[in-house]
Amino acid sequence: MTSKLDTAGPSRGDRARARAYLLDFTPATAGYVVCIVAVVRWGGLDGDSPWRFAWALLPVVPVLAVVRAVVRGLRRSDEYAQLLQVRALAVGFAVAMVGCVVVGMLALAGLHLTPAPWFVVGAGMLSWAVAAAVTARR
Amino acid sequence: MKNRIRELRAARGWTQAALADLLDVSRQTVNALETGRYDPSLPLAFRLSRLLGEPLEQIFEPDEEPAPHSSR
Repeated sequence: MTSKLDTAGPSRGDRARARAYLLDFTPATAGYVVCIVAVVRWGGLDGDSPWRFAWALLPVVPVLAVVRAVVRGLRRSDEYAQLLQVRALAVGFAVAMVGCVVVGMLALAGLHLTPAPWFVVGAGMLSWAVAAAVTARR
Repeated sequence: MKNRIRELRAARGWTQAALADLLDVSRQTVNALETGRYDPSLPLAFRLSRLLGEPLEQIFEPDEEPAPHSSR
């Protein structure tokens, strides 16, 4: 009796929340990509102008917009979805913190890997995404 | 905690998605509630109660677990 009523498709509210999240998240992510390309290409980061520091920090602006999109998405979510997302964020945070300690200790030992912070960012983001996907399936 | 949400929803001919929209939660949340993977907060439980027209104790049934040890 309930089989027809238990179809797994999203509700109208689910679709509206997903649409609202994409409207926040997509331009922020696109802005980040554009900023990264522009800064690397024309920012003169390997020069000696003091402006290169301002250029280097330009991609932080769209990253803040990404953070805003995530926070707004969390606020639009219900209590169970928030619980799952916060758990996934906690996993990402823990991985990023462990990554920071690893990079910091290796730096103390004299191993300075220039892209090391990017590995930490990538590991944190990836573990967040994986944890979110795993908790959503359970 | 056991509950009768699935039974009460089906009796009204509502899909999980329809109930989710009525409660302003995701369909995944309705599924988690029905399968007992998530116990709702009191405000959500009362919203369910109002929507289904049943008192809380007719919807939810606590698991038969021993009470936690008292610190006294």
